Amino acid sequence: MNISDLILWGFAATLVLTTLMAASRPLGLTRIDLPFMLGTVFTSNRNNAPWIGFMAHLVMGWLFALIYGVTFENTGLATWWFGAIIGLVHGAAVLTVGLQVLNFIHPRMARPYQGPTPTRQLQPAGFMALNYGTGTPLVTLLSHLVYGGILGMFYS
Amino acid sequence: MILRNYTLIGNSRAAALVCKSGSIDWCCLPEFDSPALFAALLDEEKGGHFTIRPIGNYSSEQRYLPDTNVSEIVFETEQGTVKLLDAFTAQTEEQKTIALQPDHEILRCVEGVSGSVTMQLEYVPRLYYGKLPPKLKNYRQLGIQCTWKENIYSLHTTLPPEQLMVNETRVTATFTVHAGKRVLFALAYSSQSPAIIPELKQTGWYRMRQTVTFWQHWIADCNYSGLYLEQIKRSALTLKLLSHAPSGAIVAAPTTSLPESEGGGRNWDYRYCWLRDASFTVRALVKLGFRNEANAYLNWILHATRLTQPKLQVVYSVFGHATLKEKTLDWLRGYRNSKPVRIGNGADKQFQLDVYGEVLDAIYVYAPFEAPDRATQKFALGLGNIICKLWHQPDNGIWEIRSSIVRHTHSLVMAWVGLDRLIKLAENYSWKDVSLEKYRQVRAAIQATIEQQGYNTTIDSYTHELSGDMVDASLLTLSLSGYCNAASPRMLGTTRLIIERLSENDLLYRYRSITDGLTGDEGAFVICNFWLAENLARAGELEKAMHIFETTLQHASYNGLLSEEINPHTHELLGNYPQGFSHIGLISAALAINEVYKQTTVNA
Repeated sequence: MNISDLILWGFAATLVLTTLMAASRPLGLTRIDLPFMLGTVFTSNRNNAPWIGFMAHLVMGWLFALIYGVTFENTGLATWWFGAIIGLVHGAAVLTVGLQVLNFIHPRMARPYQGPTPTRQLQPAGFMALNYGTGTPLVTLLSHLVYGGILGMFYS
Repeated sequence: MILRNYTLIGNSRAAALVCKSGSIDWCCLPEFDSPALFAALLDEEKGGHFTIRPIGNYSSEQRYLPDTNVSEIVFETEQGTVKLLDAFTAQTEEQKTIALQPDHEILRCVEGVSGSVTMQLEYVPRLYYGKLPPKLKNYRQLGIQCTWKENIYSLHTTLPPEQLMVNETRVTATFTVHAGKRVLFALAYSSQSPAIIPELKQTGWYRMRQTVTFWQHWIADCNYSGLYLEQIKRSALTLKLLSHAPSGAIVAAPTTSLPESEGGGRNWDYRYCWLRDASFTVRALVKLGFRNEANAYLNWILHATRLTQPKLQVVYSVFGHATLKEKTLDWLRGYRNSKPVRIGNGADKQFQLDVYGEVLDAIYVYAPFEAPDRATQKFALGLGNIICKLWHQPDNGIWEIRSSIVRHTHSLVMAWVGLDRLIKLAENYSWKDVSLEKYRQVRAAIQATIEQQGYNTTIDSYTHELSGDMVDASLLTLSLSGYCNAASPRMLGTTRLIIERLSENDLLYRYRSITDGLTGDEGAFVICNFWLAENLARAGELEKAMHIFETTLQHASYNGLLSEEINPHTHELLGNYPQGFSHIGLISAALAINEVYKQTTVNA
């Protein structure tokens, strides 16, 4: 497995994914903010949460790049379209499983069926993260598709 | 629904007007110039509101809690008495790091004082200035939410969810408050991220107390003691609400299209920042001891004008946007049927020579506290060069007259002030490579023009325009800006003529008989009365000065807020409300009166 490729392109793909999702927020497509949501796992300081979350998101981007690398090696299909397919599955998993699990482990995210307490104030994602806007599934799937596509295209 | 019944609450990023009937009738989120969520002030039917008040007959009194920007309304009913406290949550930056907080939170606390009073809630938000109905969704304990574009607005309460009647466009509830008990409501706003749900049951009242303490600590920095202390503190607190903490800007007013005459068309959007206010604003803030705010405001001027430097526009948005396209909102009826309702401001394309002088004077006033750095020096010199290039050109003048451009005496005086301050800055801080001789020559040429053509010996007064025979109230600032002495014969003559021609019922119009290209009348201009009071005080006529000052104060709202204008006949407040410029004038005049009063008593 080509680790240096995964580190370099894992970084680039995570950056593109984060940028795409961030750009879709001012356009009113979604309110999902993965760095902010991850950052608030560690701190309730709104000034620090975004950059802590970005670092956490970057580390996760690298870890997922390793899984992509293993898949490319095992299938012998290191192409942009195969990467994009894995990205699509990855995005769907984030929407359906990842954010639901995050809801129960996040110390500051309100549970869907309980009243908010002083330390649980972040709006839960809901089914397919639709609480964050109807464009959320589309934005999440597309940006993960691009993430996978970049890894597949540049992994050698 | 009259303006004097409204109190302003805010958090130095956004603001709302609360009526003494318990209704929030104006609120734009997340910024001052964002579309209004509640605009009943401009259209009771379509605008949207957020009302909490007793059912049935009641009487109400409204005030600010002392030294705060927290509104308190006391409702008296046959069943008992309740208090309603309203405020935007205000916390220190340190307090904000302890728990997640939404971008904005309006807290409303209903507290039983005596008996048991049945209250009603009506939450009727409307999107984009009442144009679009919301689609409210009830998430029960997680609030009642509506989303629009990247914005999410959510209503929360300590009432049980089943007590609320929710449909797509409104929330209503009936609830009883017993003596000593509290019911809390919060409107939270979040943008571009998952909504943050404010907790109310355990920490809502604590945040209200934090807010009270925040404001009390802030105003404690005011180092003034003397006459009119309460009015000065209220004006400072109002200016703080009109300041935009993230950028340092100060908006002229938090409202749009409150008319200069009822039913008239002189309705403008004041949710922007006018550079003409710069010099008076910095002076007022510095003199009261609010150096952080003065510094932030100067920094805003330096950065906000980047897109147009070295030229300056008349008006910018809080983030320095240079284009403020004017539009009308045809679906709104307007305040007391005063159409059109406008957003944006066409004054951004005007040329006002005086703003260059205003900004240079502001830099000069703040310089003793922080010597101008290289960027400020470059900026100031750029402004000086523009004055040298453009001083002989006609402009729209301080009153932004849209119909014609002429050579205004006031604009020339401010051009003189600009060069005068620039020369002093260059001398005091030993700026190198500055063509001081050029600035001195132009300053002398401007002064000669003013004295020869801007003063009419027939009427014994400075005039509105060169070679003219009319006066306007901006001439009162000639002495206030340091161009001449208030007790000089020429200035005394000008003051006398301004009172004679522009005064009615002891209130001063800014101009009369000057064609400004607009239909309809306007009221007396509040800041002009304060300029007059300051002139009279500085000319040694203290009693007259105090009379003019106090007459103007009598027209303020019950909570001490002033709009832009006053109707001299009905004594109603007119124009956008509350207006920063009026409160800056109040502070400046009160300081001058106090100074002269002290000298007089010492001499006596």
